[in-house]
Amino acid sequence: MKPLEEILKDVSRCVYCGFCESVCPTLPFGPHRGYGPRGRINLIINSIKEGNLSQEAASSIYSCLLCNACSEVCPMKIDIAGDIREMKALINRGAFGPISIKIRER
Amino acid sequence: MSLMNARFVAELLKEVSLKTMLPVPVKMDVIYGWAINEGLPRSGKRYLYTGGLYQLLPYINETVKYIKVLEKSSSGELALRAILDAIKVNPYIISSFIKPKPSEVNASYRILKSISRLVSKKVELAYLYEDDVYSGVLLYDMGLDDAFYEHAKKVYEKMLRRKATNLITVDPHTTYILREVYPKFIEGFDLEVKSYIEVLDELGIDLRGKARPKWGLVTIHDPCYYARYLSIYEQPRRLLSAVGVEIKEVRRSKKMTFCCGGPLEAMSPKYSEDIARSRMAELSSKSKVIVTMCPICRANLERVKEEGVTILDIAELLSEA
Repeated sequence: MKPLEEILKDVSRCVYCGFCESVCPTLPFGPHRGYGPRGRINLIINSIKEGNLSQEAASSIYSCLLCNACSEVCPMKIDIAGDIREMKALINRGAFGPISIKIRER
Repeated sequence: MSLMNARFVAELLKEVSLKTMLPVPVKMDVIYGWAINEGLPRSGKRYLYTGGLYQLLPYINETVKYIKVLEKSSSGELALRAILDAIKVNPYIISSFIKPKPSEVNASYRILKSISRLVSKKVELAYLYEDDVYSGVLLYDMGLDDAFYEHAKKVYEKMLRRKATNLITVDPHTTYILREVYPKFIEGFDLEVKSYIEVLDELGIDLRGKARPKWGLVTIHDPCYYARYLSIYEQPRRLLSAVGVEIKEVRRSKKMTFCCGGPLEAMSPKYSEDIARSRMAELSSKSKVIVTMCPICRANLERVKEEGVTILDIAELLSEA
């Protein structure tokens, strides 16, 4: 398991270019940008920095298919799917308290 | 709008996996039933390791349907809680409700027999039978790392007991988890893991006489884990070409393949279906014959299959030649 700081260091390299959004399968069918890689990455940054995670943010993280198309086009070579999976593990371990996860559709 | 609590799915998966070593409560013969009359030896160096994903998928999908029915019932969450508590005592308590279509179970058995026969022509292949346990891949994907670690240790012990040195896998998820993730979790993990597609590509596929491709032009749906995580995308194309099958590529293929949406099925079926439908439209615009090589992709695309479209597993196609 990756330590929290390592995840934060990796995702913080995001330059907000949005290339990842062009290849994500969940974004076009999700309710908002949080259901895409750039959104998820930024939710991870915020939640680690602030130490809390909302149900909606956790759900968008859980909606990731781990298909890893985003990392292929990321100019910063962020391990996007890997970091998202690590976040799932942290959520399961209760790092952000008990959160119920309800994935929304459009 | 489905609002299934993903934490419930995770908890259910964890409980059942820890108690039965499978993601759904079925008897082990569901996993090795396909091999009963295949005559594969019980011991050797190279073992076919299916990890059960092909065989289990019809049962996984039925379990999801069953949970959905419970969730929609008047007692909703209360009913789910009660089931979870009951499963903690006896995981097999829901087994009698999980009845997949025999045609789906038979299809997975047929694919595995094709794979085993194709590989057996090239290498001396043994089979794990009752030790062909599930890899724990869904635990890992859900981020249930502690449960995954416990599970993986038991799986590896079984492999060691069988004195395996090489594993030949049949699906992308099991290949990935064994090759890339097990070594990170299990100290001293020392097994060579190869997909049967890689093995056939390296050793060359047997062409009995002249190949007569029955299907003509096909299109390929690359699974994410083969294409992106393991860089296995030229191998299946070489194999199909070798048996005379012509391929018309979709734009999003090979490393830039588009996910079938399958992993979301348990948590949000409509979401998963929307993604599958868009992929189906793209694939069927190139050919009415779609070749898959992953049981999850196969099941998820099958659900949204357009009229006149045939979905074939690459093993079925290769064994026809």
